[in-house]
Amino acid sequence: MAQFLFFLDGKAVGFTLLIVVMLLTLFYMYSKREVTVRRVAALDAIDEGIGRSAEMGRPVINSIGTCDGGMSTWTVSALSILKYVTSKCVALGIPLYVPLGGSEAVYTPMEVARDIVRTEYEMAGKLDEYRPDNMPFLSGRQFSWASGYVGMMLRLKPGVNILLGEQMGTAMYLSEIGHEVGALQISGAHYITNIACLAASADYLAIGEDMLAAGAYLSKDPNQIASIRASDLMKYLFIVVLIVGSVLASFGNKIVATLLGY
Amino acid sequence: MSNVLKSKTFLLILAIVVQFLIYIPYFVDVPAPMKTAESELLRFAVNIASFAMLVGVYTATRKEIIRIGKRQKGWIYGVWVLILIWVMIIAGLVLGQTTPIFKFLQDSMLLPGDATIYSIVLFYMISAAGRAFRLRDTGSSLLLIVVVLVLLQQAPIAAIVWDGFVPIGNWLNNYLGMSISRTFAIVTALGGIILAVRFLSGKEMGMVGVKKEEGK
Repeated sequence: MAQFLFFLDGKAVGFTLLIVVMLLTLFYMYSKREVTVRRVAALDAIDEGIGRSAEMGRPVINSIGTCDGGMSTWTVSALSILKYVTSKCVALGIPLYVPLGGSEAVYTPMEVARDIVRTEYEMAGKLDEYRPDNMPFLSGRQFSWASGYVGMMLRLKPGVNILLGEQMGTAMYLSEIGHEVGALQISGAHYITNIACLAASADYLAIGEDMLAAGAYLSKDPNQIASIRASDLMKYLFIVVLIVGSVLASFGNKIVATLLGY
Repeated sequence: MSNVLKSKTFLLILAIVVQFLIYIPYFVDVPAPMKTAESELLRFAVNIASFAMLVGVYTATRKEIIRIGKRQKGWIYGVWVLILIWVMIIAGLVLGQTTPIFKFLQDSMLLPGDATIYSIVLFYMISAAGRAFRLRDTGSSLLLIVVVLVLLQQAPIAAIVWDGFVPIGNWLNNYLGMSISRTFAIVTALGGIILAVRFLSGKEMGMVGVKKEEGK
């Protein structure tokens, strides 16, 4: 069979898979189907955390991460979450703080974040309550930013610390200080070793694509939620490919590895 | 003009064109002008980031000046921050990055500060581990055993006590750890593609600050 597939390499298969995923996502988004997706505890906990802050009379802190990759998918997801958190804080009249900085690529996402928060206040007709100083740029270096962030938490004693987006080595430091000041800790990170560390520290953890699906999940828009279904279906396909590939490779047939390698 | 630049249609067209120019040359051989457009766009992103750095300097300076002007709590630290920011900028831009003053600020202030904060993380990891790795049920017991084995693999004394610790730790890292890392990479790539589809189809525009009435 390998002879028939000689013209295919990893890039061609990758491109085909990309197109399939995109078409499947569009199909689910526009098919008006009611789909059920699993509950994501970390995202459901955002409402709980904001409500907790309102009851305790404490502010909310929401980080969009260090944005090391600039406007990466993780930062974009964190910005979607920030938009949701801002709308809730505006509605309940809770002060929102967003410590910005952490890398030299943060400057563009930082301005986007400020614009998002300002727009939410403007849309609610509460522009006079918008405080640009609540979104300070602390530093372009990760550790200096983390020190400033910790200082904010110690002074403000937030009810919830939402630590999402691209979180690097300081995530554990920030999460533990959040825990110390009595904040509900909702964390997530973009690489697996950091997630393992945060699992020991956070109250709720966004793992893997949880954060990337946040915009759709929190929007409660059926069309957007339907897009998550496409992700689930593709995961089943990948599980089958993994099992078939492993079995074939065990018998010396490397066709799956050839098709997916580049 | 700003309304046009922030409109949903403009942002969508811009995003689709940029995505097309960046992604297609990765998969398919394209004519030279399209390759040039791809590399120019990537360079453009670097230039934007460089300009945006000025915004960072401006906002940090503005924040500290306001803090000092209003004599807010800890305003004296604001003076110190301003001095450090501007001495660093002047030393780097005017005198050059090889001058003793710049090297002193970099090597004797910034880097030790970074190293100190990074070291502190260790203590927080221990305190979090103390809470997390407790014997509560079967799952947490299994987790504790695996953690101990991986820790022992890293400790030189473990190999002296019993030479089986290293292969067990290696197996846990190379097979269990690696498979979980790969799974994570696959699902996050998938999530990223689906997020891009939602964005390119105009469904999820919140992250670019599009107002609700435009974003519907």
